[in-house]
Amino acid sequence: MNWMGEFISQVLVDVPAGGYRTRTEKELEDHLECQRRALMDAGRTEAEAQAEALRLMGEPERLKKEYLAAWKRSLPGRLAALRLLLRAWVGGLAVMAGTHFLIYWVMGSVWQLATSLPGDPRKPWILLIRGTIGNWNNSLFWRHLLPFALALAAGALYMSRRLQTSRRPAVVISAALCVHWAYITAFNAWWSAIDNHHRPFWEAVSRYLIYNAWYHCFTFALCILLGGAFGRKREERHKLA
Amino acid sequence: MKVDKELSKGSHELILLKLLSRKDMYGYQLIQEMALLSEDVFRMSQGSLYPFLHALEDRGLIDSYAQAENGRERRYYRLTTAGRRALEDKEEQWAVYVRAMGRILRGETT
Repeated sequence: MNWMGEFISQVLVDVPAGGYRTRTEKELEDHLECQRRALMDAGRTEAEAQAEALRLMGEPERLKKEYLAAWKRSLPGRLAALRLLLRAWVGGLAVMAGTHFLIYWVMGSVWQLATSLPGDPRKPWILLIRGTIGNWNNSLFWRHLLPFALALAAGALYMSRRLQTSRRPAVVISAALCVHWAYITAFNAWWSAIDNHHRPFWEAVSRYLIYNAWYHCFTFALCILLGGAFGRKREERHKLA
Repeated sequence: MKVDKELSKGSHELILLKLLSRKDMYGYQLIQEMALLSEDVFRMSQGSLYPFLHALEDRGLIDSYAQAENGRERRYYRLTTAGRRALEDKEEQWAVYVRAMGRILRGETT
């Protein structure tokens, strides 16, 4: 990063990547470079000129708010807002799925290390499967709740940072977390039915859902709670801005 | 003599539109021209200039184009037709304001 990079990143920290940010970065770079050269022509040293050019730009904390407001104004109405919302949703769901699998993979690696035999293969897909279905004393907490909660938190954090213009971030984030909850629950139910192949499919699915009802209710409530918490945090930042 | 920031803040739009009515300019150039022509009376925080210009652009009063210079991309601003009309309107308003303020400060009565 060059001498002006830190300042530019600081003032544009809340402006997401895209056309407006790229254009503004170039404008600020050009401005700072012109100012630095002018100060050096006036007899300042390189270091003095850089420091003075940055000082003349103004207080970064105040500028951060001004650039965020300018970016919001530059958005062309509802279509852009919808596009941003969809991008945040798709990104959030990908982050949650990725986090979920990563944690299972780490859990599988730990399990493998704890139980490995000499010459035991350690292929990534084996680790992943062992993390998912490994014998963790059948504890729902270790096998499912911990990865679930961490994945939801990662997704909520990701979306709260990207939903700059949403008027109801809590609702939007909660809804995305519930979608993640739905497909993970459906996947687990399907997996349970495959695992209990001696029972008819729908009976196995029903048994899974009923026997783990408290777990499903708890994780669903967690989606709403996390969505509300991260959404409110975003709303507070909006008000401050 | 330093002028109260709040007093000069309201005139930034008029100044920028007026400067751009003369020729297309880039951000740093606008800051320099503003300081030079006003003999340093009108100054704005350099970092605040761009959000201000972007707002004028969003309102359709100015538009911009990029041009490569010394291996660096430089963005120039120019006045639009709507901007020219807004400038005429603001110049008239400013003249009325100055006359009225002058009368008050001189203590003239009608």
